[in-house]
Amino acid sequence: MKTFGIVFGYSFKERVRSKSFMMMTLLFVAIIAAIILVPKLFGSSATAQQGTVAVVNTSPLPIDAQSMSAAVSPNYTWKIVPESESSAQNTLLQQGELDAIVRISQPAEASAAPQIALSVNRQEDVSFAPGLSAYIERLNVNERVAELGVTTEQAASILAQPTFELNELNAGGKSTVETFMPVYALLMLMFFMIYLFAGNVATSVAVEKGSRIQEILITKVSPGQLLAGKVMGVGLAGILQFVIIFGVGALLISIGGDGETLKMGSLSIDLSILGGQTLAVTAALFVLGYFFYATLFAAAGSLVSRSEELNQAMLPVSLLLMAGFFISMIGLGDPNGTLTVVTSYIPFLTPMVLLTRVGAGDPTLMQILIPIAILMVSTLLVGWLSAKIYRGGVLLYGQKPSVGTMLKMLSSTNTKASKNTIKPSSKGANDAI
Amino acid sequence: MTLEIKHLGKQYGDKTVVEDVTLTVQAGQAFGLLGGNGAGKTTTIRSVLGLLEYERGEVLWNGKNFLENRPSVGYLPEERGLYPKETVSEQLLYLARLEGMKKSDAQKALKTWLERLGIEEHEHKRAEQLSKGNQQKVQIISSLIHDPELVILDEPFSGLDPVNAELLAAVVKEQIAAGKALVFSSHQMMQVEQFCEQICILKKGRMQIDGRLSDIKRSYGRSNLILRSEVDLMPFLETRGLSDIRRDAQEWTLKVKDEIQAHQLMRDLGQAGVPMLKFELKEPSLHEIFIEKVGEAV
Repeated sequence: MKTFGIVFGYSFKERVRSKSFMMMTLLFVAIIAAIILVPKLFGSSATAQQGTVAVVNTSPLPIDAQSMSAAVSPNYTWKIVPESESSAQNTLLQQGELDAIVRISQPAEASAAPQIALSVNRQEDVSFAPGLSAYIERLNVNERVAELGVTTEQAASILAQPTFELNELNAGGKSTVETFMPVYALLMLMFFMIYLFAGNVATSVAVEKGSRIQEILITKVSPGQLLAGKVMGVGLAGILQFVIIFGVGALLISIGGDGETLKMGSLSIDLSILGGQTLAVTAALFVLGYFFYATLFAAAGSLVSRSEELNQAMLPVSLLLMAGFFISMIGLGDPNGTLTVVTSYIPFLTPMVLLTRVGAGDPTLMQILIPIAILMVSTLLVGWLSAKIYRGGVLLYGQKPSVGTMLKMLSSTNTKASKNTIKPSSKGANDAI
Repeated sequence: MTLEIKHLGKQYGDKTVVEDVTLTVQAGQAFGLLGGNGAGKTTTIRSVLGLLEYERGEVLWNGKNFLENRPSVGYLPEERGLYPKETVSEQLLYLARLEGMKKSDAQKALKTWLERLGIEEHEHKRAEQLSKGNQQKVQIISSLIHDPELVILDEPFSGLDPVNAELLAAVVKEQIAAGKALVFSSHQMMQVEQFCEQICILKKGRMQIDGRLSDIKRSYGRSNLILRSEVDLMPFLETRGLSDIRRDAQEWTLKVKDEIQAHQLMRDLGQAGVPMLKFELKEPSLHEIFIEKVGEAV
């Protein structure tokens, strides 16, 4: 146990002091800070003041700039212009100095509703059109009711607006618009952190083997303890990094408070919508996903003779992780669909896909706990198998990493008293003499 | 403290790479494990340390199973290894602490060893920045820093220049004097002769010869005659039907059948009035014994 502690401490220290750890942490903290702080610092500019709209009102309706801003859209500067300047506004619109011209006129027939003519350069400039129509309609009704000469109470009862209350029960699915970017950001973070940290374990194993210090190490530490110490030491560094990144994020959110959020197109990146449940599941999935992939990568690393061969040996494992990432990206569009639900139970896909389910979909508690339980059991199993491959692989040189080699390692049994004892296959034997 | 290997046998599939190796290494003694390339030296060492599983025989430490009763071991493998990106002090402290040393003791020992081997100025350099010889010294420190009871050095002199080889020789002698049990594998017979009381020569995994070096040599008889004279001895030696004569400067080295033949030659030289500066009858060198036992394969 003591040697495990020393390997653990050494691996942790080595990882935390590395340049890549510092750079990764700073990079992610900067990204999180940008997502949270940029809209707050530049607050209104991100969402408000999209342009100017000229209003030419020839109807008797009481229209002024202030009420347009309040009732239709606060994002535009509303400018009331007399009819005489109407044609001059057209030129301004064509020059792009105006976003839209609204012409409100009263048709000749007195009983007819007012006409609204909206001139724009591009249709997407006028997201306020439905609001404008509703507001003019309301003004018109007000006018007509006033003309009827009814009492104030009667007028009030006619003009009473239906009360409107939005109750989001989350039963019919979360809003994709709200969840897409935050979950996407989490998935990216998860993918890179698992890939980099688990990959770091593989590199560390391959360096020890490639530099041949392995032979000295395993006379001092059993391969099992060496592997466990390394995986956990690097893992703790990963958790520390995760905590730093999320800690900074949480701190910035609590300082800055809710409010404006950064938008990419129409998608908002509001990290504060990620609830406690999502973050707890993310933490669990990161830890399990890391151990699952770190032990697999370690086994791959133990099969190479030189660190140059590492990428080739890591490829099959990397593909599994990437498959999880892609399925979870597809799943973002349909987080409660069959593909997403089914794949969230497959252990090597769980870390990524379940995150999509929890972040963007609506899984039941069991649908979260069962995949996590399966992943836990699989992680132990994979850890055990990887340790066997590692034990056999660390002293075997000159063989190409292959499935056949791995199977031979797995079939070897330790019959001697030593837990250090390894049994290479006959093919690699000459190198060991 | 005694290391005993009894009837050790190791197979790779159908191929026997070590067969019936039996030897004993006592504390305060160096044991020379000799053999050509592929003779089974490294396999024997790896089997002892539990790095390889063996099929036959047993390895004992003080009469008990070696791995269950494992002493602290200082191992210098034939294939040297260091962490290329780590500093000398970091990796040596790590390796020392894995052997159970306290951090403060490890630091003290590290300082002493770096000074002893004259590389104290490299303490904070990365291993990859050192010359090959200095890397070798770091590896030697890694095998001795924790004051192990059993020291196993696989080809410790390869890669060292004569000055550093001399330095290492002094260190090895200190270790023997300090009562360590030392196993020494080498091709360099001069060094083996210098340290090892006991030797064993392996060929194709089998022991060709083993025992005390002095006994082995004695059993070969004193058949090497060395003569030194200022006159040319060649005509005199040739007329006596002696063969295998080698001449270096003023010395002649030749083979005699036995001591009687040598004594006869000495008398003849005296009677002939040849002025002699040196007349020495020697046992065969370990190098000669090695060549004879291992043959062409070396």
